[in-house]
Amino acid sequence: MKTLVVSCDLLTAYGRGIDLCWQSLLSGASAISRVRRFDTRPHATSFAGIIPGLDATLSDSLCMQMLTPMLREARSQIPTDALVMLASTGGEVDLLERSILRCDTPAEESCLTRLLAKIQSILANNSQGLVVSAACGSSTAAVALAAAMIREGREQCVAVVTCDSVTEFVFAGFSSLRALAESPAAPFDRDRTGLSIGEAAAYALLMSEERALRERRSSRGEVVGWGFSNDVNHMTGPSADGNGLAAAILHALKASGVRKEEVDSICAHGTGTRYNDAMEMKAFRRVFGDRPVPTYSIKGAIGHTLGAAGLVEMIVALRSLEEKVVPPTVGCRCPDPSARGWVTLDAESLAHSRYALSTSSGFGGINVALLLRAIPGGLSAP
Amino acid sequence: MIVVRGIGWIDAEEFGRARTRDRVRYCDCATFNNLWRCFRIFELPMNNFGRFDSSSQWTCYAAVLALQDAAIGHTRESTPQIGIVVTSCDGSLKSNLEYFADYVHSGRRLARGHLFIYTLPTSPAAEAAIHLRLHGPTLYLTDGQNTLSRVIAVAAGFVERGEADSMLVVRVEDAKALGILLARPAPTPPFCTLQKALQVTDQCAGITAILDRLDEAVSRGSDT
Repeated sequence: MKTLVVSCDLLTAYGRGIDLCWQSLLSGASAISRVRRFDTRPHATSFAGIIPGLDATLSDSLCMQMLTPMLREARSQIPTDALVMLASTGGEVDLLERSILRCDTPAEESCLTRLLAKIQSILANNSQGLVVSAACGSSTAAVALAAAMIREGREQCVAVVTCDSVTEFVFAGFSSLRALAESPAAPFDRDRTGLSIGEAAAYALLMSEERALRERRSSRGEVVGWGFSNDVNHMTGPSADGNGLAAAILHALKASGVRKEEVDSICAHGTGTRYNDAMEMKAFRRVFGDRPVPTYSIKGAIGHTLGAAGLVEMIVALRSLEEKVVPPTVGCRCPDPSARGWVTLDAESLAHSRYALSTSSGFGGINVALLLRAIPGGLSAP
Repeated sequence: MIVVRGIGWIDAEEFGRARTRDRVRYCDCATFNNLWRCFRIFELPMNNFGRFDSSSQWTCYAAVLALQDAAIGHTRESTPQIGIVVTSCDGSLKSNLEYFADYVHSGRRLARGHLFIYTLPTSPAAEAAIHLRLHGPTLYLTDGQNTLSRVIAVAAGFVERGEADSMLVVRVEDAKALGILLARPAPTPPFCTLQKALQVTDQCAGITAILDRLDEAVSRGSDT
């Protein structure tokens, strides 16, 4: 049973909507800006991918401020019997900050199950939802699980909802690990120095082809394959050889029956750290050999949106397939030697646009890969 | 066909392996904090185990006990493709609080990286994966009702689809952890079928009740 993406939307530091995100990426503009939300002076940088208009002083968490308008609009698109999957790393962790800083919120309010309940309430959803967390591969993993459930006939319809925000909690943590770039991130750049944190919210409604046809839904794309692996290396450092990610990609290819020659573009994890980007290029070369595949990262544009990154990148990758254009890797000026010939500095047209690979890697050695196919019909607002 | 090949469990006083019916009362001569020094549970050293957060320690114990119950050794060599899914009702809440409170108490100038790395719900699964060489899928899953059967069903799916040779499911509660190893049948007799495990875990809420019901079902020979 095919898994189709029938509806989706996103909110990033560029603003709301897929069209805006896509056009902004093509323009090469970066949405990474100075953080005003908390004091960044003790930390390695003052830059992050901040969504304009969010107010950390409101009673609603940052995630709810991001999700509520989007999901209220999407409610008519998402059946009430859809399985809702929340994918996130920290969710409403700003509520936990308040519990410690202001003692005005119970810390339990920050639990992901509470956020899941709030999301289901907005959607008037009556399914028994699921929380999926896989570090920075959370939403990629959720899409893969959703596709598996649909393919096996266990579910007809899954709404993957994702959100992570820029908080002092996360910012300070990454700063302590010396993972943050002092200036906006430059994925795959020869002189890259680290990542920029970002925030985003997104949803994607995945549906079986049978139900999509029955409900006359137009399709944005298809999830054709996926793969999971663990590097078995270190809690924060990816393996140097890229074998773990390569294994995840090979699982995705094998499960889908797609030949590696048919993969026409890669939306990489591309955080901008020395180790991640080097690991990814090793993995890509291990799988695809000497045939460079147009590769890009959007994290130099909107920051590393943590658990939300995978779903945002899946949506962008589907748009890229549909347009037959690969966006530039914003922030990258001079590619690392390992990335030369692969990573795009400018928007590039594709001769073929059959399948796209989207990869995510996270703390603890987690790797998830998705194989995607576009279905003509557009990725504009639902 | 997927079966439960092994079950390991641990609480504040005892640990055990369900299929081999081992049960060790460790509290008479050790505490949870020094258990790993007093009893040779880990076949190979777990580097820095004493610095893991408590959820990670509970997870690693339950995981290794389940692997042992399934007669799968912990070696440095390549192992079958085993994945791990961890579930709990509150994710990394305790570690989140510890990390951020320490950061605030220290003046909000420098966070501690070794506390930050445990502020992900997947960190316990990741520690187990790294130290037990579990190359398969690594996830945290929960639903709003903390239903173990749903997590087991998802984990079994990885094995059924050939994405893992076996999957560990570890449930962590307050001062308690349960590890279940799901796999295809092997020469060693399984503990029970997947269907029995799903049925019992769908009916029972806590680890103690789950173990009692599984043990009862297996003793009656009602479904193995």
